[in-house]
Amino acid sequence: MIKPLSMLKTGERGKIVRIEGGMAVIKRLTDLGFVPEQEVEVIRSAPRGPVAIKIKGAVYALGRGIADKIYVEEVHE
Amino acid sequence: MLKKSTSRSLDSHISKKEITIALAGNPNAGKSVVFNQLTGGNQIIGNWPGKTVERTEGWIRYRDRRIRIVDLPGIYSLSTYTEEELIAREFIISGIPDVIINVIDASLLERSLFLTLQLLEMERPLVLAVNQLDVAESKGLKTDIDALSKLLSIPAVGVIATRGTGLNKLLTVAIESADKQDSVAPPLYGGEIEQSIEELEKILDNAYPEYPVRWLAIKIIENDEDIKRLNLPEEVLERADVIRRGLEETHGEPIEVILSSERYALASRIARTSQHYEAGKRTLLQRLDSVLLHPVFGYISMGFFLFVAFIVLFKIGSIGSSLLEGLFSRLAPMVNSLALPETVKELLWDGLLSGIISGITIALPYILPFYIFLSFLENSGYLARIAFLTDNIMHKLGLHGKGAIPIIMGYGCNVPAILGTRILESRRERVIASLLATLIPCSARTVVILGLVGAFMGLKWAFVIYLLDLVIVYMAGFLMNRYYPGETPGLIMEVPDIRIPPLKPSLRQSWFRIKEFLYIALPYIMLGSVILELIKIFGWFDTINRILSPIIVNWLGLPPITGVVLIFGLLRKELTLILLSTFSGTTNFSTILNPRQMFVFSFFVTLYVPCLATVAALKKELGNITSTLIVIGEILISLILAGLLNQLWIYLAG
Repeated sequence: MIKPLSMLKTGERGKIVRIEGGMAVIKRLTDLGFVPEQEVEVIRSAPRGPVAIKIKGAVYALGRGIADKIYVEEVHE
Repeated sequence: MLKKSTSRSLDSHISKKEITIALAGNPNAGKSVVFNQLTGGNQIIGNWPGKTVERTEGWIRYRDRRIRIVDLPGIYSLSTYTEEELIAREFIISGIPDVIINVIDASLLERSLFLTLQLLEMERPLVLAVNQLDVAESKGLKTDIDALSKLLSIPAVGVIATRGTGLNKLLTVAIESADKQDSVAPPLYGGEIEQSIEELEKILDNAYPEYPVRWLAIKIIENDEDIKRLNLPEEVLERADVIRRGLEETHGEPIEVILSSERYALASRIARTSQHYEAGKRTLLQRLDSVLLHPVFGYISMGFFLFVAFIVLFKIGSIGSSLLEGLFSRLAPMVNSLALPETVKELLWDGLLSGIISGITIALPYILPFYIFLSFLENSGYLARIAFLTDNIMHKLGLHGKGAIPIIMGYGCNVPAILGTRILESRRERVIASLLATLIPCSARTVVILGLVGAFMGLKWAFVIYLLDLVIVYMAGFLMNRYYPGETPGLIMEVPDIRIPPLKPSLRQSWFRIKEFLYIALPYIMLGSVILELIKIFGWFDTINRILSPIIVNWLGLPPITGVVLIFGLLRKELTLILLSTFSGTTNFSTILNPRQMFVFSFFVTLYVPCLATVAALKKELGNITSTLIVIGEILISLILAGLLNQLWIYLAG
């Protein structure tokens, strides 16, 4: 099922499907490795506020608005 | 912004007497530690010309040759989306550096290589410094340096910069590479992308010899903003458009995503071949994160930590400044013994010298420790966690999480807080953050609040002022967010591993910042104190008090004497308290002010025009118009609010 990254809970993983939004944001995210097919892990997510995402070994804080626009397919072990 | 290169000359194969090395790498890759280890003490910190990005440069002697090392800003990519990226890119393409050392974090190999590949595209001599091998190892990552070197066809040296391991070898290899001007093979990408690049390369031919043609082709396909300024011929642009559209159709993604994916695919292949994962262990510091970012415990630990830190810093400040004041007061008899007319001596001592002294007694004991603390916060990675925790609330104020940083700095001193707004992306954010920072009670205002309200009315009331202030900051941010045109960009920020901050770079950084503070603030403080001394010599105090009395006495309900005091407060806000006792001849303020007046006075001191040093910082960062508007706005707001508070208090009490 495809859903925004912001919907994943702490500890869940997903595979990036697409990113929406302005080109500047997309470019910054892809520069950090948020590219299609890439697997991400949610390190910390609360009902509100930003999420912490682990990708390629690095952790990033993404504002909720940004995480809303990154669509992922949930990955189950 | 791209400058044409002139120095890529024919004599590059002859060993030059002076070599320039540029250090490039991701933020937190350990670049500044490598830089400090290599250069030792010989370094200059400044800003890039016309930019607000810090520039560090150093020199060393190496076998009779002078090696200049320039530390480029930390970047993730070489596009044009941040000022840092543009600066790094321009500097490399200018041909000034003879060799580039790419410092990479071995524990984040794949992401680091994403930048390495783009550096390779620029076809300048490149040496890889594979840093933080110890951290990588603790995470169970075994790195094969030779494999990396072979796969990228550039020299690679393994280093642990914090311990100084491998740095001599790194320097030797880099100088060798600079002397030989090693040709660098740019990375090849997949099928149709490679074809597109080659096609455009042919069309471009060698029309722009100052740029590597392949790099130029890639940038044109990427729709790079900066390249557009080259005014490329119509046929090239048209062809590029067709190529770009073709690629976007095949891949179903915008071109930026296609190329990043391609580079990451290659980076990933290289990383997988040259690094292997064996079981790693989670260190205590890494485990700490589950607490530090926790939705409940994260806030509790942050609040506790900052509270304790501020109390400690404030204590250091007050002890240090009284020590310094004692020391400086010994200078007074020396000035007095000079054979000069009395008025000149007064002007010299009470005006000029005490201006300098007051600048130093606030800068050294209060601001320097605060800067060091901040550097530690930054370099330990905790600052990023604070930004994470505060992102939500900051959004309501038109800022994102990083905006919390200057605001927190404001409690130490507003000047660094305003300079600290440089970390924010847009001017809108910098204006909002600067405005909010000036409303934060700095250590000087804390002296007044605690010395007056805290001492004579109780700490409870002092806290009320802090709370009221926070409400005002919140309201100001809320309104600015509402009415200042533009949007709040979302937070995208790396949260680096928590680590013990490196001592020397932190101290150097703090020293640079304190010097910057003094350069900005001292001239204003000196000028201000000379003017005030002149006013005193001419005996205009009573006149000023009389002129101000409708505001001071009728509206704010304060004794007339506070008029002059508040004007002196422009220099340094804690002067208001000192002068109040000088003028009234007592330190028992309860004899001259009633509780209402104490509260209104402290409240007004907290809010009205930031001190001169802060105004200078505002002017430097935001320009004349914006800073003037902020100052006028704050005078009005503080007058209105403090007046209303006074009237309300009288009304409720009566």
